[in-house]
Amino acid sequence: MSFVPTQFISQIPSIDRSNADSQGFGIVQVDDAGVIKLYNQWESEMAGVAVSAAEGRNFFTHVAPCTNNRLMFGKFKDGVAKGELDSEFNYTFTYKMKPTNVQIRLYRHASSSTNWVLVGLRAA
Amino acid sequence: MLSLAQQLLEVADSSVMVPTCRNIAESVELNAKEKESVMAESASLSAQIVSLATSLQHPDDEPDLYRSLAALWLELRFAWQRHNMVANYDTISTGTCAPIVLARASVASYFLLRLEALLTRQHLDKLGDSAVELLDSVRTDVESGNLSVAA
Repeated sequence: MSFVPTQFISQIPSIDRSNADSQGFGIVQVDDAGVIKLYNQWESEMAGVAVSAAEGRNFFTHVAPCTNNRLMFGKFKDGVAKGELDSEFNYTFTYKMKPTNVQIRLYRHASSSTNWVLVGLRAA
Repeated sequence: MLSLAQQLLEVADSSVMVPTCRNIAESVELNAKEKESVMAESASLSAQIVSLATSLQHPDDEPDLYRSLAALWLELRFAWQRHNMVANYDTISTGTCAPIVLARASVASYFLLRLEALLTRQHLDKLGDSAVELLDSVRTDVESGNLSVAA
């Protein structure tokens, strides 16, 4: 079972900042190149990166460089190229924070061509 | 105003570094030997930074000290990146990874964070961009088959 409520997925792409900030998990909307369009409060607090410092920068290469590899950025690029992406997996963040176990869901909403990186905490 | 060397000595101050690194080591399940190893590596890195600040403390040395700081930032960034790769490839393939790898990654990135106080935002962006571009160009070559490994 996904950490992302089905109801949330059904609301994509009409997720605005207020809705995103009210969720109890990380929400990062990125364009096809990975540039951040929306970075919610939960993600900002978990990563220690201000929203203003994140939006407009590339998520995979600059804001979360721990994701700049085949496992994450590669999977994202493949999904964007195919126009189809919905993958959930375990991951670990260590960049400028204590080791933090997370679950990641990479999701592309086909009809709106919007991309979402969703992040939830998981037990070790 | 403190010189760059004096500021670097503060950054490497063991009374700050040691407790933080201990907290990181205690945030994952390490046995006594592993914990000791992480603490020893952290202490060694602190001592090397102190040595750098001490050796290049004359005002005329400041350009070379700043350059060395930039090089150290890159070293630590690449070390952190390697630990991160091991941690996440293991997490994906086995569902877990060795806690000591996580501790080493977090410690490396904590040192990065401390050093960043002494580098300008402009230089940090440039170093970060260079690190990404350098390795991405290598990855592109490998992925496109343009790789000839010397025997």
